[in-house]
Amino acid sequence: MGAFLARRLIGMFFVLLVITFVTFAIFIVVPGGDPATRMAGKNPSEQGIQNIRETWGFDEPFYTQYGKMMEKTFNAMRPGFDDPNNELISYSRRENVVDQIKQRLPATFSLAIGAAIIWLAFGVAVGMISAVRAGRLSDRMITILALIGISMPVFWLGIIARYYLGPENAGIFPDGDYVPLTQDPIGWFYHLLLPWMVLAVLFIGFYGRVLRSNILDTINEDYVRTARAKGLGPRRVLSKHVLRNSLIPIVTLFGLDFAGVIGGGAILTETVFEIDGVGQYAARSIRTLDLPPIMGVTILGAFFIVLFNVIVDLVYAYLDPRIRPT
Amino acid sequence: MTSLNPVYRVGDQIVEQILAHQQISKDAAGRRAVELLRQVGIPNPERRVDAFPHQFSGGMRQRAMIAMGLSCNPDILIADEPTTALDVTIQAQIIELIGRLKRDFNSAVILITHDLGVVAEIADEIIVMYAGRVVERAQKRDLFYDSQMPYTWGLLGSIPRLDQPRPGAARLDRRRAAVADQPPARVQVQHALPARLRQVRRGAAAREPRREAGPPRPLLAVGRGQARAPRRDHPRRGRPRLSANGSAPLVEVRSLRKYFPIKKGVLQREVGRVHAVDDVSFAVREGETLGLVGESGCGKSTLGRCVVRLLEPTEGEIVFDGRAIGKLGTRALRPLRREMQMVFQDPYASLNPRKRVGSIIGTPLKIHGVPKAERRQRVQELLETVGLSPEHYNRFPHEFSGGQRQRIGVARALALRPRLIVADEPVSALDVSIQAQMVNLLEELQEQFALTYIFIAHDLGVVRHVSDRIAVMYLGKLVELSPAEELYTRPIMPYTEALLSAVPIPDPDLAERRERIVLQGDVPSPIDPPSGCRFHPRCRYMTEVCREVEPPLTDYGNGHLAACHHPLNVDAETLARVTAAPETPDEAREDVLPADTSGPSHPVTPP
Amino acid sequence: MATQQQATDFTLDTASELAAEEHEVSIVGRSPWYLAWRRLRRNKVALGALLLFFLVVAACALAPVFAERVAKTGPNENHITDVVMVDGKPVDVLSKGGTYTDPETGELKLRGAAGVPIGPTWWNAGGKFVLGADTNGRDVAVRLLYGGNNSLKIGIGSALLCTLMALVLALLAGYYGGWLDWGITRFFDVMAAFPVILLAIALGAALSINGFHQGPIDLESGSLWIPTLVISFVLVAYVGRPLRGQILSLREKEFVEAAVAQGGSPWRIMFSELLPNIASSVLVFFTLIIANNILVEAALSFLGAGVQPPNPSWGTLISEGQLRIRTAPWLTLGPGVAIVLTVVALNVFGDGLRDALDPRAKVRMEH
Repeated sequence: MGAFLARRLIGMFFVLLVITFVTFAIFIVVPGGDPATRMAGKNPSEQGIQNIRETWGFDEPFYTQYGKMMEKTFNAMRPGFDDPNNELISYSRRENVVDQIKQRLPATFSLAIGAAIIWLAFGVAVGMISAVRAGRLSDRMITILALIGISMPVFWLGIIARYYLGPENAGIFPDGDYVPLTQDPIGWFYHLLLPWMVLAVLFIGFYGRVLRSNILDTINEDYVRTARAKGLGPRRVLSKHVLRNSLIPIVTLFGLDFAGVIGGGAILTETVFEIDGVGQYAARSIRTLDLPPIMGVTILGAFFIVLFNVIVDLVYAYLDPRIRPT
Repeated sequence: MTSLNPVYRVGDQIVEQILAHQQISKDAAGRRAVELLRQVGIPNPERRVDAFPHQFSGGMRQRAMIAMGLSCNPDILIADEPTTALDVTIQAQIIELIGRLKRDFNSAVILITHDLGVVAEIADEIIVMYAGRVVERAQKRDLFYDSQMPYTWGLLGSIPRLDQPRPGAARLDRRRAAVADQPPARVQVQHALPARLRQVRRGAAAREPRREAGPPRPLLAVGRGQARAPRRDHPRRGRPRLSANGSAPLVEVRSLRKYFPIKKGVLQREVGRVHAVDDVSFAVREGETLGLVGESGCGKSTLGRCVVRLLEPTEGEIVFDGRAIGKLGTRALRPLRREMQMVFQDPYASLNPRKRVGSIIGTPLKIHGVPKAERRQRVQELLETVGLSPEHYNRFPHEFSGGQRQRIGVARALALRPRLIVADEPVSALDVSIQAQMVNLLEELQEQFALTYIFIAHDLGVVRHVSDRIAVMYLGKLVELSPAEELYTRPIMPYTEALLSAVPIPDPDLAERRERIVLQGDVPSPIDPPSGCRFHPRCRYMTEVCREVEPPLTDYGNGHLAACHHPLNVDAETLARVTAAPETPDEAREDVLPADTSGPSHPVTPP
Repeated sequence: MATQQQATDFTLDTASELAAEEHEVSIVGRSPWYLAWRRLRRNKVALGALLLFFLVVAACALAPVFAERVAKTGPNENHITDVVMVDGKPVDVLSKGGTYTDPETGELKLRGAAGVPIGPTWWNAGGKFVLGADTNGRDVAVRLLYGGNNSLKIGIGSALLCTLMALVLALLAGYYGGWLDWGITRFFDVMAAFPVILLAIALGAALSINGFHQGPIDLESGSLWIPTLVISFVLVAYVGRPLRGQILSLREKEFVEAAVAQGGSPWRIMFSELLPNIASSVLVFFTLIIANNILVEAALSFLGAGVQPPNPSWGTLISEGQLRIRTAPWLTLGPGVAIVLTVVALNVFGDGLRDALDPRAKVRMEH
């Protein structure tokens, strides 16, 4: 167990290292990425650009720049650290990147967690219903709906839903925006309800399909036959023997998808509904090719993805005794 | 094997059954589960109730299933092929257990099996089914000795019998069984892809009137394969051996070891090794058949794969036709591939499902540079040689039955006219009547092409029929090597004795008369094999010396070698000779091959 | 004796042979591909979906013809001040706004908001502005087809590249194992740990400024190759991982051992033994990946990191329409519906294809 965790943590560190390096390299290798030219504003003087290069260290070799950027990133994450010269500062607005991300985390987490609850609950329900009624009309309808669900671009669905269900037409939901939970819990819920559902649609369809085929696979297993032979009722067979085994792969999917949504997957939903979360911050920074915020968000996203990978493995081992490390 | 839910503890699954039918407390049910596990012979039941199914061996899982079945004192226990996937010694344990529990619980047992030996051991009354119909129903003795049904005769006759030394009578029966050629379509359906199921039904429906006319009579019909390839009656044992004297062995294995590392931890360091093959030496003479038997996990397949160099041995040497091939690289091995080929166990996995038969058999020819024009003809000849039609050239593997696929596998192995064929359980995946055909085919081909076989099997009956000599393996060690007949009449190693005694014999009288030795426990893990003699934890003759000293493979005369501290069936004179000179001098090992038919004598001197 | 002979016929061989007897004796074997095709042929829904996809592809491929012959305007031509005849009445492409004097009553009337583009004319204008115009007076139908052309090129092209890269990596890793497998697996791990959309946007945005000019690769900033390469690169792990797993399990099969025992070279084993056996998976993956990549392209273009305006794609069209949804919802609805139709068609066909190639799945569904 300890060795397993240690190995995973070391692996995590290396993955993060590679990811930050690749992200950094993208902006060094790719032309047009020279931040000094852009930072100098319109009609810059050659001297002005040079000055900026020197103050920001753009003239140093890229590995030095990379090292410094990493150092600054970790500095800024240390609690109580306050040295504006050694923190990760964005090129365009000269803000402390880590603070900016921290401010926006609650919005992103609110969006992701709410949506995750919805998609997990509905996805499992959809999968179960269509598996139990496999082959019948209701199964076919659900299958078609699930297919349409996974075929819709989330941002388009968001735009359409926001306009047609929003105040100008149906008037059921408010028009985008984010209200902090601490400020107004009801408003928080009211404003997030539509984004949650829009974000969840894709996953509901996906989970429903996966779970349906898992259940239909498991039903054919010998141990399910054993359970029936024991004289257990169909409900108990389904809940205890079929569902438990069918849900194990869903756990993996859920962990990775949830991490993916936090790590940038909500970028489209946030943009469409004008929720000022991490995703929107990243989108805005990318438009201005502002490397430090992109780096910050990428590290955050990758961290969550890698972290949830480990968590998923642990949960998986708990659910499936066969792969428990002995 | 997969009848226990992998995510729940074994005890809980038994408790679930008890609670579903009996109004008792959970604790009481738990105690009952422990009691049941004890009754079915699981050691340490108090601890084992909390284990998960994957922590049980196959035999123990089957015991747990039986415990579950018995938990509510049923009137009838239905056991569907309860021993099919198990090794023969474990099978003997389960058979004994079912027999005992039948009495203890006073339950009726319906045992579904394809194995007539198992039936002869425990059944009282037998129903024979064919193509969905009951074709015979009789008391055990009536069925075995006075059957009314030709199909049953065929079944009884097709089994390679362990208890019959000379193939004479049995061979005749086998010939008769071979007439059946193919099992009925119904039997095939199980193997066919479900998508084709509907077509079968349609096909069957078209013939419905014919089936209504009466039970199918496959036995009396002359099959196509039979008509094409008439059998020569050629008693194998009588034919002269290839010049036994003086000819060098074709294959010689010297102190072969193959370990598979187990890696673990942060740095993936090696924490253990699977000792799959551990210091094995033997030789195979040109034209002979060496049978290689042992339970699963004994390393026989690994050994076979090392010999044809699908695996690289960890240590030791393999000499093929005077040439050391143990460490040759891929390129250097290529010309040697012509000389030795392999026939695989699984007729479904061993043929590439995406290639046509012509291409499957033709690929080795292509690799070794046979021109295209010649290839087609050669492949069609090969198809005929193995009893298939040349018209099958353009078909795909899925269009053949298991037995036919295995013939294709044999044709592929024959394509390059090899001298050595390693057959890894070539018949164990086939139905009984088809097994007999396959064995016949292999024997014919041996005569026709002067082949040398290493015949790997877990079925001692089949091995007896094809082998000149038999090697018995246990946990990576060669424990006994003997001329075929002698092994069955005069086993020296207690393990061989137990192995022979565990095989169910389809003859109720004989089964009753003979002494049964049921080995206790499972085969230990090859990762950490027992010290001394590896068989000692399960051996009934075990003494202190067995635990500490590894017995060398010793020559007991007549080409009969065994590794045991307590040899059975050895007269005093031989024993005295062996004890006097426990180690045969090295020079004997180098060049003295005994003149008898039993092949080279190869005592291995421990280092 | 006759009955006996028939009985033998009945017991012969496999199910498919029985089926063959029903029709005619087949000497030429039926390949797994043929059997799959026969199963697919029975699945009318999947075939309908394939037809729909081909119709979309054909329509988008014929975009220049439509533009020239029917709409008589290009995808980027503005018609801000034009007037079209709808049902014989002249209508401004963009509303003029302001006031005008009613010719009958002489009253001064308000014309409504200025710059509102004309809505769908549904063929009442002789093929012009079938789906309306955008705020620059460009013909939405023409732009939709040209946009679809670009989206499909990127979707199919990136799917092709992605599958090809994944296949090569998976074959190498799965066959050779050892260090090569270790390296490729780690590469997949890292790629899978990247926040995909973020990486794609970052790459797309960075590359779209000046293009990419390194060594032999010379891409202009507006090139469609940029999103194509970006998408295929970031998704390679998602295809490569499962393929590698399949090859690993195939590698254990006895027919591969047989090929080794025959002295087959690694290349022969990879291409002649392994590849045909994963071809069906690759085909299914390919279909589903096209669908997925069309969605990813739309997302990238929507965020400005994909196809660069004024070049249209379904994503950029939605992005442009988003701001005008109150006055001209057709700008958003059209491309959205086009995406959904195409992706649904591909997903339905992909499902059918999988069922046909892996008949076990079919049986499961019938349970």
